[in-house]
Amino acid sequence: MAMEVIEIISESEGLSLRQRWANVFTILTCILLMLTGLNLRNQVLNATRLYESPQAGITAQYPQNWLIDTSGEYVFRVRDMSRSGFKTTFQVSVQPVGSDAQERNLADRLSLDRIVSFTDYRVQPLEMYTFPDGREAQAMHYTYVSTDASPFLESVPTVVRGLDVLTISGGQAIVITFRADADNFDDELPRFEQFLRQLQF
Amino acid sequence: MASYNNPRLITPPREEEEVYPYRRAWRSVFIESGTVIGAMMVIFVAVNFLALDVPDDFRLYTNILLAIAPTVLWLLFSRVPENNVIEPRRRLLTTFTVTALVANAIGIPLVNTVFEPDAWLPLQSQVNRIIGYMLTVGTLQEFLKYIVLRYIVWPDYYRIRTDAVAYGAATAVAYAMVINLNYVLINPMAASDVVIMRVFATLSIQLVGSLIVAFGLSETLFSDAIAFFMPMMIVLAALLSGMAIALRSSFLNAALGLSISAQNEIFGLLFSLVFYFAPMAVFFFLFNITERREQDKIIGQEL
Repeated sequence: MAMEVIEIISESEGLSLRQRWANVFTILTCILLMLTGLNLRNQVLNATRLYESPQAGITAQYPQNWLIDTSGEYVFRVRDMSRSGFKTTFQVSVQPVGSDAQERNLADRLSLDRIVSFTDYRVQPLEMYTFPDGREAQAMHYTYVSTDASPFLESVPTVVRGLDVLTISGGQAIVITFRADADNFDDELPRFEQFLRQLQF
Repeated sequence: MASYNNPRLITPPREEEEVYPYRRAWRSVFIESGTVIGAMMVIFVAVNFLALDVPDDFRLYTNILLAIAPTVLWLLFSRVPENNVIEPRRRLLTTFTVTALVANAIGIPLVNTVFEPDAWLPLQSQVNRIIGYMLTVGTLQEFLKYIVLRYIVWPDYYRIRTDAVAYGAATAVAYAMVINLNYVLINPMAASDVVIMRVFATLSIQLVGSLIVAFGLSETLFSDAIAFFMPMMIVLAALLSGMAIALRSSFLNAALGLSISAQNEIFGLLFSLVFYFAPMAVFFFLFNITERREQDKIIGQEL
């Protein structure tokens, strides 16, 4: 059976009102859907969980899907386990200090400890940091090279950038640490700043 | 008296067979997809059952060839045959090229830097992942392809309904090519069976989405469908893309266990085949049924 050909020649000038509206609605629908997607993304990425430590007097909101660890020599540590390579880390630790101790002394002590344990540890000059409630602190930027604990993973060492916010409060030093792969540091920094804004101690 | 002993035989007039003046778009789509499916089966069996694999030195080149294979097939079975028909479709190559450029310049960078689905969707529930991929990757892809079609060929170059199929397939192959090339350049040492399965999965997602958008465009133009029909088709195409991306990874990924586990390639392959054939069959049927209705309508008007 021979197929009949139906040829409809149309021109854009001849579009009906309905066809014109279809185009407008399609574009608006797509923009609306993508904005909804973006909003959903932001909600998921910025979702947090509450951590409270009555002993240390610390309350924090950490990213929802990050893994929390409270078993080390720190109050708590959260890591983004979905990231390949070096896992982005936020950590809060508390150390006893003398009544005349300054943030500068704390930074020096941390550096002395890390020179021994970290490969190629380099520290940058200290900077001032101000918490949202007006409290003053010192910010210490540093870098080191991280290698996987297991040599069988055959991974390339990663350059890690770190930022410690050091403050002394109530006779104890509080060290708030942020570490990330040097390539991701700037991308993750806003999240750490959000973490700092919500941290209470 | 006339003699009838030697009758003269007269050849009856030959009925002129009507020549279909256009390239048959569905046939080309099925030949191209069928060839990719055939290649996928052969490579899958060769790598997994006959232990034949490409040497490391040639992997990148082989993977690039696999990534551009659907494009080569499209040129051979869709673009070149246009030169041999009475009424060729114009701007087919333009549609293909612009879609590829748009995918590379807008589509992939937007997904990687703005939507970042890998940063927040893998840990979500299945439903959330489907919705997430639909609202981000799915919508963006279908929107970009729609914009290319809308402002390059629609409605001036749409003469028959299957023009929508031909132009839609061009956008699908172009978008899939860019995604696949991007994948093999990031993973140059990927195994050939993994690459060809991914190539087919991407092609099927793009083809299904593009044909749904094509159906929307053809109905909007030829049937003057309601103004919300085209947006609904875009939403459907985005939803199917989201489902395909989320569900394929669920089928493909190995279950978590204490022993060494590998990807369930066979499940991923079967899912891609089902995902390709089911919507294609539905939209092939829908295109045909609307075409026949149009014919009946015209015949009714003539009578």
